[in-house]
Amino acid sequence: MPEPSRRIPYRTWPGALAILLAIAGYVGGLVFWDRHTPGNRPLPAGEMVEIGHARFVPATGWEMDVSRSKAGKSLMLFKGGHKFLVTTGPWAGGADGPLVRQQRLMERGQRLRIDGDPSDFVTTWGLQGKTFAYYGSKLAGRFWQVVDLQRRSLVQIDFYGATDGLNEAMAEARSMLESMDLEAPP
Amino acid sequence: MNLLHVAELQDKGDWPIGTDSFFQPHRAAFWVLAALIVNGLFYTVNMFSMGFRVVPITALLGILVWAIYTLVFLLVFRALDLLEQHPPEAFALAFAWGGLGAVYFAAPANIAIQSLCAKLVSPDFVAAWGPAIAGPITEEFLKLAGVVLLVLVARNQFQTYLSVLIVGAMTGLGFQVVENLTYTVNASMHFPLENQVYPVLINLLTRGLLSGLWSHAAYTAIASFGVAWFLLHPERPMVARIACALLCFALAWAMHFIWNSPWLEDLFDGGYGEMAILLVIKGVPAMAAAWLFWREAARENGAYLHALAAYFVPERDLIRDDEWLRLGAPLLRYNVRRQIGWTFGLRARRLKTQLQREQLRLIRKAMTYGRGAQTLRHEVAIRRIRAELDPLVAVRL
Repeated sequence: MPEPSRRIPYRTWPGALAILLAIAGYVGGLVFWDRHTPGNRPLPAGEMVEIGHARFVPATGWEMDVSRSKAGKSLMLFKGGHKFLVTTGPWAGGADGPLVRQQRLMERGQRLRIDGDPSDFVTTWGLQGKTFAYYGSKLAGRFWQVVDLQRRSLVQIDFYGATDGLNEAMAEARSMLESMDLEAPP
Repeated sequence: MNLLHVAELQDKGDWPIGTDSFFQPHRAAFWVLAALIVNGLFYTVNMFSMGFRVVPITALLGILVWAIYTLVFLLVFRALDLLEQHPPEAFALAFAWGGLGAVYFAAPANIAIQSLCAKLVSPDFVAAWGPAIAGPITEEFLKLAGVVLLVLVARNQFQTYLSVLIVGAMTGLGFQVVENLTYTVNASMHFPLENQVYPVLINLLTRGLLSGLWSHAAYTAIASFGVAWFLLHPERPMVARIACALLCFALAWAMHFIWNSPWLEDLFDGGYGEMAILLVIKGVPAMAAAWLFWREAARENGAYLHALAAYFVPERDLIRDDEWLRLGAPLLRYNVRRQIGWTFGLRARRLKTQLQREQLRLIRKAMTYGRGAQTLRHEVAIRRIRAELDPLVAVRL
């Protein structure tokens, strides 16, 4: 014979606490483990590294951050508090479009300020594109963009870091950019 | 003396009749659930505020599109009378847990797993296998944690497998929708064209239409079946109950893993046509598994309703023989409504729908409180609707 259900009191705190601890242990444990696992990978001195079509020679002392690099898409190098991020991807039209979107992302999304208007640049290898500098309350940086119309590919280079030691790091970033070409095999 | 001990001492029959609501401020599980949802809400709002600043059209259109998408799922659930299983606040809490609470914790955990894979193996490995390794274990665990919390909040609301499965599906749907919205906004911020509408349409096609049926809602429903079995079979050995819960979780994980893995991707090119074939091939097993669980849950729910109806509602003017037979078959009920709609018009269909739902409510109310003044409203409603419906149906015969 079915009986109407009864509102019998019961405790939920042991179960709720167990779930809370399980979530905290799982998420906190993973984050802790990740933070305490080194992600730097030294790069062989003087040897070219490749990312997509782009390749360049890393400056001395710069290491790869493997956790923030995506195979075939982006390569993050770092030295101290400075970062050098090379991103490659398809270009779908509008030579300046990606640059405008990057500026919008920085200004509206990351609350950074763009220093002046974008200007043209050309490297000794003939790589040419547009660049602009930016700054925020705790960091400053420079962004370069190259569009390869023939391959319909886009290469963006973002250098940024703490203002302390920025000039030296910027010089090394420029040397890496100078060594860059888009001749890497697909 | 704790409450359980009091319960043991006191005769079961002394406790008040009824089911607990999902608003339980005196229960710890309720506050844990609420606090984590609110915490997730702040995180999600903060995240989308950036999207609104950078790609406002995408953000607005994305919210609209994914809201409509959610509505379609809700309409399907409603058409199958699945929303009759609980009061609306249960579904709101489940959806909010999936979309806010679970998403908040999933983001750092997934990033940490992928980062660890890159550090301990290689970035190439992460590019191929990172989503398959990180997503399933993290997301299935977090979504299911919300289902368990909801069960803890109002345990006696969950009397059938179906009552747990629908909460699981709603949790998965919440996760799915907020994840899709996040992907849409992120895709727009890095879209190769100066267009804020395309990313919404592309994500709707790929993540919503081609992947939507065998995504989080299906996985969490499968995993929830284990929770339901654990909850509703206290007579079984604890080892068997835990094993069943773990087995269902493992199945949900495996389905999710296969979906996120790069298996078979080499066989297809990057075109939308071939991608659609690939998604169907990878998604159909998950859909089939979810369907089997839903079918078993519906069968058990049917038997439960029949037993209750036979005891509490024996009057054949309230539930006629053919209606009684269809009590546990939501698809049959839906087909009858549709046939009546085709034959006798929209009003007849609407009345038939109301009649079927009132019958379900009458049975549930009778089960909760017994027959009496509290079920009178539904009895009156059934007789009133039948009085309106019968002439409509009879006129055309």
